[in-house]
Amino acid sequence: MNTTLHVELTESHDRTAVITVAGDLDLGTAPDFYQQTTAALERHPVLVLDLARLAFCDSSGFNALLRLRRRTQEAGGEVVLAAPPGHLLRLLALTGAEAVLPVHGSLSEALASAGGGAFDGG
Amino acid sequence: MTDRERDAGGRAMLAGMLADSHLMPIELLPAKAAEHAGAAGFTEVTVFLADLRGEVLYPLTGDTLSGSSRDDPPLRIEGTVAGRAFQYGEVLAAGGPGQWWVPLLDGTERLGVLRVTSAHDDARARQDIDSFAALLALMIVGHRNTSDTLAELVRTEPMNIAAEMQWTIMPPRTFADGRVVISAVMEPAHSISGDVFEYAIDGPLVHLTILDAMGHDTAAGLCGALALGACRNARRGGADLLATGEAVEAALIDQYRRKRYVTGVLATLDTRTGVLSWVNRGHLPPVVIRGSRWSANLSCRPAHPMGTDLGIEGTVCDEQLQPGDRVVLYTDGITEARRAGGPEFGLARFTDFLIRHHADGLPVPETLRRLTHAILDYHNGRLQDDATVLICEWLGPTTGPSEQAAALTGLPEPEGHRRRSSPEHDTPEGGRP
Repeated sequence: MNTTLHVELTESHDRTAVITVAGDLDLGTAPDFYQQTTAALERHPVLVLDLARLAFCDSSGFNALLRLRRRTQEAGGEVVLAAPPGHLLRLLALTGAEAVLPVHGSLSEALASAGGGAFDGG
Repeated sequence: MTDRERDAGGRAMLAGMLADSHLMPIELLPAKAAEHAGAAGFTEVTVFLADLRGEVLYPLTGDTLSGSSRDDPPLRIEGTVAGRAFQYGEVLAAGGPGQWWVPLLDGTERLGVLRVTSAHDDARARQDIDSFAALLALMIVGHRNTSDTLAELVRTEPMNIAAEMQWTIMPPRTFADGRVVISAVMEPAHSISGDVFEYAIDGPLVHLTILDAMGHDTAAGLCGALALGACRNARRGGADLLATGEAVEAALIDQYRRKRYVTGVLATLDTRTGVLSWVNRGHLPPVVIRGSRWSANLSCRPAHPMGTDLGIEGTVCDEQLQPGDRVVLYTDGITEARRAGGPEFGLARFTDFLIRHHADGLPVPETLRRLTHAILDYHNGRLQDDATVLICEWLGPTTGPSEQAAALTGLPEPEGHRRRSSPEHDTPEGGRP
């Protein structure tokens, strides 16, 4: 079963980077996702994930999100989720992870709050 | 033959079988059973065992001396009289004169059926064969941990490694006493990944656990097995529900460094009071079904999945059950689509199925067997994820055997009793001998 996931750094400013994630985040694609997002951490410890076009996220994908969160914390930053789809919202609620992963309805809201408003005026 | 002679024959059958059992490989059981049954007037005894998925009854042959079962073809469970004896737990007349199908149960776990041919057709013969079936079931189960013959007989396709491991560490799929009836199923039975079900009787307490390790590979199976080991180890060391969850978390972090996690519900039912206590570790909430119409999700603020170390504090929640309430633990493979836009059986269809078959008076293990078939049909015969259900019905506080527990698990009625009206007696040969 081949699935595809596109991970792209679409914006960056100082400590913050916006990474657009589109497609299926699952057992097959989670390792690449984790590798690409953690690579961005070296320069941008605050990651805003634009998930508006995330089609699917399974337990392996969800775990990659949790591991990424840990890595960003260790780097002194955070992961912010922008526009996650309904099934991911349900997963966040079910697992209690909504308490530790900031979620915003849109990319602009996420950017306004991420990293203490790093994009303000930028 | 006098009554006294027949009593002696019945005793000789059981005693002879027991005496031989000490030094008997399973391959000799069919021949020894046939040999000793002769003392009680049974001219044929053939053991049929159900496959893991409850679709086919396979004859247990081996190096048979009697030869009686050598040429028997496997029998479908759907649409045969033998299959109906298995499904409903009823002794039914088979084709030949004096020939019966007799359910084979270890405790309440359904193993298969016996086909017996009896020289006598009366209550005494029924009592003898009930006893013999119970004895053979015990002996067969006693060989389960050492016999590849049995392990290979009940699989219908190759197993993956995780399934090979999980089926040996999980408890039997059905248990009952006067207080509870517990039954579980797991599909795809031959290719499990990370699901595990667990229950244990602990004096007046019944522990119920369902676990779902992330991923769909051998590593998921390994992770699930580790979680079960850690869970049992903590529980048997006296840990409460919260501490057990923490022990599983610690074991997972120790092995996997937060790279793998397990969701689950850890629950304990106090059978004296009917209070169910549970902790939700990032899992689907349990469902309670009451009577034939009402069901509800048991909501409880979840703590994070075990192994993720997110630091979300767990909560123990309590629910007062009524006698007859069914607690249902399940994994997302039962209700949810694995792929976006894929077919989704759904929670409503799932609970409706359980309620409808309960109302029909079907034994719980049979309801679950049919449920897995319904879910498989819904997904065109191929599940993308493990689908597991663990049901526990609380009957009341009394330990002793009860007719209610017997009916719910499909135990054959003792001779001379009529417990309930039997469903689907629609074929002419389906009468009681």
